[in-house]
Amino acid sequence: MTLALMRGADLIGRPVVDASTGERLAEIKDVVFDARLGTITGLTLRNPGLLGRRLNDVLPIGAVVSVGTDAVIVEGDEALTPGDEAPANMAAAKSDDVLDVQVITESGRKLGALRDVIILGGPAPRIVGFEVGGGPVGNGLVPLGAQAAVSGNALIVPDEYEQRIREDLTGLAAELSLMDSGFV
Amino acid sequence: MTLLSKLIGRDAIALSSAVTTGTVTGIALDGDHIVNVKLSDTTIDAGAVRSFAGDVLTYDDLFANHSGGGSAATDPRGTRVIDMHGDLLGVIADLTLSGAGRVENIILDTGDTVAGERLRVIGSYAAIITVDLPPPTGSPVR
Repeated sequence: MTLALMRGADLIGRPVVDASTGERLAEIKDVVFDARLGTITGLTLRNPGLLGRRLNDVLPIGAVVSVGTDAVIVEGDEALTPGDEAPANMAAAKSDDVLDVQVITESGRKLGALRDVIILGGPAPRIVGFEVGGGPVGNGLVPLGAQAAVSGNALIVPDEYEQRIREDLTGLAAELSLMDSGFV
Repeated sequence: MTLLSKLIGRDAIALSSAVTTGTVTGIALDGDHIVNVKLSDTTIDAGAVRSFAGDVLTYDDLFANHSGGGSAATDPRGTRVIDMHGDLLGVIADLTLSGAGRVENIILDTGDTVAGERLRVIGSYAAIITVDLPPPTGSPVR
């Protein structure tokens, strides 16, 4: 299994495949998440194709079998839920709701603007970081910490995160591995 | 054993009349078993086929349950192969089939093979592979 790190933008357009039929049900339109907890609550959908129209159906994260590098796997088309029956936690932010908000340390230093979310795929997909750009520290990837707070205006991170910005997904993966092991 | 690429295009002969009734153009699978065979303009039950590994496809036409549709029977070569994790393994280059019509191996365009027992379903978008068994490995079966 590939537990790949992927940008939220990479997920857009990824097919939703029914593992019981081998049919493509939809494509991902956006990621809905709780940035404070780092949890993905669901995915909004569109019809397949470049000009795919938005679907009213949504995909609650609990109905996802796995988020892979090439497809999002579900079991049966009943995994797709009408938008007006979506779980309450899917009212959280969509990834495009928070793009370009300022990333600021607790001491008030602006690190840049939030360019994307970083997702760890697999059977329990979650937000593990953010991509920052256009600021004094240049472009980079910031791991999501438990202390992070986000609004429509700003993402607040601990001061020491300025030293944890990594240039690429490989570097972020190493950083996350250190965090999980308790070294930082 | 035979390859799907050899089966497609093979003449089909009805045993009761010894008449060539068409050529094989597709198969329909239930898991790793062939359940229908599409001939030129008809579809027959796989249970009527004496063997899939002969030089021609012979079948008991009295038990073949002919149907004109056969839309589910296709040539799956070229279909993408995705595992239950959502990772693309490759594209179906060929299948090795037993004489009884069971998929023994899926041969991918990458040169890897996947055991036929891992095949869950082949749909119009993808063939789905279970992940309970080891990942694809080894050389293609010729």
